Amino acid sequence: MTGSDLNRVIDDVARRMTAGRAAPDVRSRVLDRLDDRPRWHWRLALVPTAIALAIAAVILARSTNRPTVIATDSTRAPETAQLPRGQERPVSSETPSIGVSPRPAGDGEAHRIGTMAPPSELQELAIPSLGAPEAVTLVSIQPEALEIRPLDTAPLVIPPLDDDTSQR
Amino acid sequence: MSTPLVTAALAELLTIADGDPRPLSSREEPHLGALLDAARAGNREAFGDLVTLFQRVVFRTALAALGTREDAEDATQEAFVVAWRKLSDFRGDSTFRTWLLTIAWRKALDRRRIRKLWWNRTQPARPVTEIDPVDELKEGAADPERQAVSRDMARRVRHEIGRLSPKLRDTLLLAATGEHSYEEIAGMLGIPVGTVKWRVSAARKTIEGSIKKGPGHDRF
Repeated sequence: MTGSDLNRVIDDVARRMTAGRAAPDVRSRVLDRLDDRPRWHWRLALVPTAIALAIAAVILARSTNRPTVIATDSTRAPETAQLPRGQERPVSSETPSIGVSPRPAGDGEAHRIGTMAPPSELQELAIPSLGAPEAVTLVSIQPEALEIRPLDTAPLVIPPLDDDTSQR
Repeated sequence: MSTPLVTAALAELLTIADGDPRPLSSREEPHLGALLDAARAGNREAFGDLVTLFQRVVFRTALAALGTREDAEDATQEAFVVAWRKLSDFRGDSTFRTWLLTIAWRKALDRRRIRKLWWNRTQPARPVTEIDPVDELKEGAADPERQAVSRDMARRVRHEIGRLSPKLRDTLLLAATGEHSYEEIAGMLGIPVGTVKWRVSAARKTIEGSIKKGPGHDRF
């Protein structure tokens, strides 16, 4: 088979691979779909809604002029369950810094916003700080453990060279 | 005077009155320009006429990318729907046909990408096209032996086309449709005309080289 014959076959096969007609009802199908909204359209509508809700939540929280719990998740296990056995949650008078949630918002945990309430009320409402689990506690390193013991090796003894050998 | 011609004449007058020296539809044929203007004004029937006019070329373009009739039909419909939504964005920098085919090509590539992701997870590789061009070859030669050789060669060529890189294969198939000029393919693919010509030539040479090396040859 010559090169031109092969080219003709390539053209023929490629043309047939793209040969065909669309279904006869393409026009009606397209016209029926002209009013379809893009699939992502409803998602766009959620964006301003979410922003509006967030702004409303912030305004509401500020207007109450006291710490406000804006989200709670009752399905989450109490934090005492996460503590090691035998270790009680320390009730500390040193409350975490107000306005800074120990967990990121949206984590399902309650978190506080606002800084205008009296300190006494805040201390009552504050979530007690977690005690450090034992497994995480760092044990101080003993200096003795880092000491390098001197090696017990016999000193190397090099015999003197014979005169005959050195003259070779 | 028929309605499309009246619409075209009105469009010309309105364009002149607005001081725009060049009407949007000036690059199109009068009948097409009238349909385009009417469709841009929201006339669905006019857009339906555009669908009728271009459905074949859009379908074959999608088929070149997708290889299956069902996918090509879906991509064709999607392309027309997107074109309807974006009709107001059409500035007339290119012809409506090129603009529409560019949309169709992108939709077909999107579909191919999604299908590839899905297919790779669920199925082993399959041939590029489900339409078997070998089976559709005309029974021109009376000699059964020659017919068999011809079929075998066509099957090998189809196999080699399927093994081309997407860039070479797409360009070759688009050129092979006979529906597009090199300039139009260049516009659709967003590449220079010279690159289109080079790709078609490279595709031919690659297939020819593989065929001459024999059926057991595999490229890596």
